[in-house]
Amino acid sequence: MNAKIAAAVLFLSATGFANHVIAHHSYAAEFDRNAPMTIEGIVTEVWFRSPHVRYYVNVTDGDGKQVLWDTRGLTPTKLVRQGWMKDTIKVGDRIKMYGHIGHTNKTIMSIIDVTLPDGRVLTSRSVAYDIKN
Amino acid sequence: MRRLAAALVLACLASIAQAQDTDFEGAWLLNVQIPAEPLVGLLEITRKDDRWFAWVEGGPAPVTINGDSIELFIDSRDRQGYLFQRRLTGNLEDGLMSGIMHSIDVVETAAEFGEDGSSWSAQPFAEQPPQTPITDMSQVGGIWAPLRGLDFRKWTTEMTPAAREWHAGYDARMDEPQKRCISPGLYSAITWSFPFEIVVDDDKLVFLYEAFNLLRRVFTDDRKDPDFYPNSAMGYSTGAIENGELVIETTLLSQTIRDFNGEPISENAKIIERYSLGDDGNRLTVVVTLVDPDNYSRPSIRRRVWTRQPDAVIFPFECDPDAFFRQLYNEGRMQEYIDRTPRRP
Repeated sequence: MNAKIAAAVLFLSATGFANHVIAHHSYAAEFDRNAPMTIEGIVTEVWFRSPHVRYYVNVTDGDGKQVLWDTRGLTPTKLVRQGWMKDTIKVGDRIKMYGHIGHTNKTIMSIIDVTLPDGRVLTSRSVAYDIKN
Repeated sequence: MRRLAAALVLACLASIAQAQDTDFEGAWLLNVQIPAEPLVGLLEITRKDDRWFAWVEGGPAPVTINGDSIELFIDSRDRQGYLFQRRLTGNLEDGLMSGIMHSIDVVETAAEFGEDGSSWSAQPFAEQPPQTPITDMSQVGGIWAPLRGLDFRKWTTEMTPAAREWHAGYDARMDEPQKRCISPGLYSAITWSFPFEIVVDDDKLVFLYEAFNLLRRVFTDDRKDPDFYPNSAMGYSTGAIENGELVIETTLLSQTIRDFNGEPISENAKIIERYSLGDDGNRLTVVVTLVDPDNYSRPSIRRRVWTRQPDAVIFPFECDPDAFFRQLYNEGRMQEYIDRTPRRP
């Protein structure tokens, strides 16, 4: 992280900016608020661009079949301010994702948070309370 | 007998002190005291044929009034676009309303989940003099970073029948402009939670938004909009200082949508922004009013607040719609997308 980004992260944390990230389009139209779930799989493609980052993740389903999930998080400019960089999640990483899945397409996910191979947890949403426990 | 008389006197005094329900009529400035994220809104109440009607930020808000008590429902969306209700209950006393707000059906992962039980108040609406009057355009120059709060994100609006008919066919999954890297325009963009910079020039202010790399010029030299200027999502803006505020009017807008709910904005719309300064010039607040009689019988209002942050870095926002179209292709919906082209704003 270079000095400018570090300064930006510092200021934005100080102003609370990093803690109230906001979507700029409607997730509600596409994702089911009542269906949060966790998936685990291998990252096959990283798409770290606006309007929203996407990670394509190969997940083994209950029947042992490989299913490609299309998952998405916030805008890169917002993730970078939280220290979540382009190479934070790499192709080949085994990750765990928690989020809302689609109303109709059940292999898309709006990411709430990600557990990295080293156990760190990154948040892609403003989460007032941790509801997973 | 003496006790009865005393009780009657007390009852009379209480009824005199109690607010008459007609006292609720009028315009109010509504405040919800959510820690770190206060909400502010215009509340309008009127009575017609013995029925009460209320609007918050220009949108309908079901209300029940009985004596000095009030119950008000404000439909709002969270940051992801999920709809929930804010229920305000309270009383009117000595010309002020106050009470408790409860949030209903908030998504548990939303930031709004923590606001339940906040207190609220409302005072008769009156123009407040700005804390730090703007006397020179240079006062608003600089980089501004968003703070939390102010905007209710009111969900429903008072649409005209024509607007309602258009809106009934809106599909956010297909039609939302920003999904394919098209800006929805000024009214939405102002309230997004990204930093922006105002560059002050002799005859204009230049607004540089991080979101979608948006750019606008606000002319401050009394010029009028030229006949040849094309309609666009950001429109044509002129600005002036009025009573210590920077007031910007924008016309020549292109057809787009108002917010996540997808209500239309017409080419005939006008957007009025009133910027004021506080905290010794280091906090910037805006009230944004959409006036669009083609689509709304009542103006719609949104708000935003920023803090001055000279050291902030504004990042480039390079948008690529590839993933949006790839998803449509994978889901077999490309033809549906193409078929909807004529109605897409």
